[in-house]
Amino acid sequence: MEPKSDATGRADAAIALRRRRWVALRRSLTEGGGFVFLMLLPALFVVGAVIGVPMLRAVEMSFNTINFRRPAMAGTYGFHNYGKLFEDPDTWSAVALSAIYMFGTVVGSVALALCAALLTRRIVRFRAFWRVVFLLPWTVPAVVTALVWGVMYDGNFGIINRLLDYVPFMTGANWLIDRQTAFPALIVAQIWNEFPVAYIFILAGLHAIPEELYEAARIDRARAIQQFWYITVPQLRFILAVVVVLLMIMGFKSFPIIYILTGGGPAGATETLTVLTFNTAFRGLDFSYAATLGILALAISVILVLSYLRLVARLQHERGGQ
Amino acid sequence: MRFAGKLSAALLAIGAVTGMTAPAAADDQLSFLVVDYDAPGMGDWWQLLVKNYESATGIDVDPRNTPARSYYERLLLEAASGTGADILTVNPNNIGELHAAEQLQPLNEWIERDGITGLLVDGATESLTIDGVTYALPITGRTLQLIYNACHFEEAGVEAVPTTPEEFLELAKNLTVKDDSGRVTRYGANMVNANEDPTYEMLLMWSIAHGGSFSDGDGNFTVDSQPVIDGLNFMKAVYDSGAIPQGMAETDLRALFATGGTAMTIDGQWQFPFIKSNNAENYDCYKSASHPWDGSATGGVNMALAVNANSENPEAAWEFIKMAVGQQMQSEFGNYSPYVPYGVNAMTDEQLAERPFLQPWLDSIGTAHPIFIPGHEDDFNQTWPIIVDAILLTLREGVPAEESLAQAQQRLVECCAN
Amino acid sequence: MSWSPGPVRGHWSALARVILLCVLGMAVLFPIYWMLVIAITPTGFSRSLPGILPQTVTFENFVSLFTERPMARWLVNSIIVAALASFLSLVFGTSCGYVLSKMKFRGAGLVMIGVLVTQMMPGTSIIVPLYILFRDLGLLDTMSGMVVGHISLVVPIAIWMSKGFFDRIPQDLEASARIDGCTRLGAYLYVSLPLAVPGLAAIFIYGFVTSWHDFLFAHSLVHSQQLWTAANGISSFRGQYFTLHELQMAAALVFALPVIIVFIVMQRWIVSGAMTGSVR
Repeated sequence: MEPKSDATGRADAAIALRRRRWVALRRSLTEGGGFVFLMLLPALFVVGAVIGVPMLRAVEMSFNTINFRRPAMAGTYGFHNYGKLFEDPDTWSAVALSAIYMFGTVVGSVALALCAALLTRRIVRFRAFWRVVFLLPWTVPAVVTALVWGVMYDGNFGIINRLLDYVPFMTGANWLIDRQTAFPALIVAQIWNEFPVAYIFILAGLHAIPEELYEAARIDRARAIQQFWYITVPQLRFILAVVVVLLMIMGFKSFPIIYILTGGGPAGATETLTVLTFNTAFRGLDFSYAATLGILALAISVILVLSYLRLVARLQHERGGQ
Repeated sequence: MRFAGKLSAALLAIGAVTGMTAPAAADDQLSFLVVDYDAPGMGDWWQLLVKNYESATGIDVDPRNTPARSYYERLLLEAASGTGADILTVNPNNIGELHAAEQLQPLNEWIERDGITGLLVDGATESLTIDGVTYALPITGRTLQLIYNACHFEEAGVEAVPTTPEEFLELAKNLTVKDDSGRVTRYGANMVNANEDPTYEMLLMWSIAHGGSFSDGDGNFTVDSQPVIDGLNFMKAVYDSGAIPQGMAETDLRALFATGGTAMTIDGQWQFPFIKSNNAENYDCYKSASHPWDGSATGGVNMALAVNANSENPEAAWEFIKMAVGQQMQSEFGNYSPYVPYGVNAMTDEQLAERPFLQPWLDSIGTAHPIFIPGHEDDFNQTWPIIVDAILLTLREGVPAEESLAQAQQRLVECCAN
Repeated sequence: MSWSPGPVRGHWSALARVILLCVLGMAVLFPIYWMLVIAITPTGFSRSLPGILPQTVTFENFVSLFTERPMARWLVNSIIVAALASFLSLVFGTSCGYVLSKMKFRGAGLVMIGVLVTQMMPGTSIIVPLYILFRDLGLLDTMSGMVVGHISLVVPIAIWMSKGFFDRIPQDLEASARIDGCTRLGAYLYVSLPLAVPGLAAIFIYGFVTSWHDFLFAHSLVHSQQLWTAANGISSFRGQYFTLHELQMAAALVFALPVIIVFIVMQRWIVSGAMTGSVR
């Protein structure tokens, strides 16, 4: 074989090197750390820029004094807003109300969604119809949900009271202005509006469970309740966990339904943390304290969600350990 | 690789989008925070104003149109982030707050220089003036007056309109219609009692009717005084009489009245255009009369224009306001808007003949009692929730008026005493 | 004599199921029915309806939505924004969820929690900084601003959900594909992604509806009426002096249609066996 000239050899080597580099680059982009980075980048960039940056600004605001009643105080930094959190009794009643609201909407929505999903899962006739039925409330914006439920709850002409006339032992009420009924009434409206979110994910989760598992169970003559408990629930657990977290966040942040229907009344009986935050900013004109309340809401939701996830993980662990 | 291509295209798109920066504001541009710029009537007048101003000065006006309901949040949001419009729409209830927040430019020098005072009715700028400095000029006015359904009156054999609170209550009971099962099918009157600021104005109104108000001449709160207690007790009597709907929002009460579900109300002149377009066949039934008590009505200036303290072009912004209160624009007002203008003799006889129902409002806007508590104009958004809490406590939970008002008085002193 | 309880019991339980389904369905549908009743009542008259049936029936509300209000324009805006935002969120979110599910790297847990935390701050307390940010980026009052904003609302849930769906795809499926010479990217695109389709459909629907409904961005960061989304338009019927319930309910019903169409199209993908079918 005739030896190549130096020049061509070098050129070949350069091409080979470039090629190797290109392969390595491609490799890293499709295989290793580069791949992970590329896959993560767009999502994290958008979330970080659009929500992350304003959140950091809000943290900064919470130490500042941006209060339109005291414009001269702007630029005064300190922990005063956090001190105020602990002095103000309204804050803690609002936190308690938010927590109850969250709990009520999560339990109600998941129960309703699970019922609906189990009932419509194997349905053959009118499948799309039934699925749309349980999705419909979600197509209604929260503002409209508030208004239509407000019309129905009305104590003067409301349809709910009229329908209750036909139900023995039930009397109507002026649902939204009575201290005892206002808060549950809000929770019901919220559940109606948001349970389809849970429905759709649970339905997708149910359909992803391999049918063979149920076939095997039927051969073993397992009862429906056993199938539910030993196949459905374990197979759904991650989706259920995520759905619950999602609903927890939605419930804790919920605003329009409460604000439009009761505005936090009667006499503060429905003033949740979000309503208090809104009032602090746009009625109290204290944007810094509103930011502080937002951070409190954030801290509480993080604690609730993390302890919930830990609980789920522990239960799973115990189940696995059996 | 196809996917990677798409991904990078998407990323590029976002990069391009986020990389753009806002254009700097030009000298020949004015921004104008305006409420319901596209509403028929009032919106047409605003549009005419902008058009006239643009052709007279060559300056472009950028109207920042905002729905009335979220207007104040919008104003605050823009102010808090330092992007407020050059010309702001304000009202007496928020002008104190905005002044305290250093958002408004004093107008006195310009008012004197350009001889504006004579153009407006007496007392027009009073509620827009703080410590002798005027911060805005009024454009529209409103008070609350009696509006009634004469056909319902006739049906019930009622001839005279009520002139005292007692007559109002008596009449409300008589005008209430029930079906066989005892359910009300038509209420005698409207009185707002939901958890919202109009409820506050109801108590203010009945307190004036009983000879008092929420503060004395020195700006000390008098919410626990006898006239206010009497006013609240009167509200309680109306509430318990079964003659008014309970817990309905103000906007719904209006729709109810406009469509014949209530026989009378104490409200603003905006009822009439709504009835005309939605309940035309019964439009002739609806009449207006003066409020049923001795003493002033509540209300006054509704929308006013102010110059942003941070405006880069304050002179041009002032010229805009000056044009709005000028004779030419004021004479056009009655052709468009259902409100009451503040220009001297702005409504011609022909315009008034077109809208005879406006008379009680024209008679009362100069002397109306402002809605905010005099001496506490910068605290309206703090004070009304306290008073509404007290009202609802008494109406809904039966707490004696003395007790709930004493509580309110204490909370007011704690939050807002001078 | 012996009889088999099986079929009889199955019969009764099927009937009970149908009855339960109908009761539940009616309860859920009632408010929608009531919206319809309000929507076909003349403007202003819905607050005093005496019974369960509409009094006077009119379709004027629906007509005036399109003749007197730019409802068509609002719908088009909403469709553009929601389609773009939900598609991009799906692309971004699933790629993120895949990596978090299938590849071990440091900080994965932190990423999961971190994206979730961004969703927990109430809108009212970040609205001022958000407004400042959008102004500085020139995104105020633009459609692209809304799309970017909506992506940030949907992506975190898309990540969590898709991780859940990818977790349930057996590791050995991918492993065999990799032995066949597939790259990671290839394994993702051609093996895992198709298997997760029921979940992806659910995520797409979630993203579409979230964007469709969003009020925070649409309401605070966009003010030109030509750029309003339908959610914005619908809430504008709640005016200063009157709430036009009848028009608003009509608008809400029209507003629901595109979502229902998306759902009907997408729900085919949420079908039993979509996953087991390909796991042979």
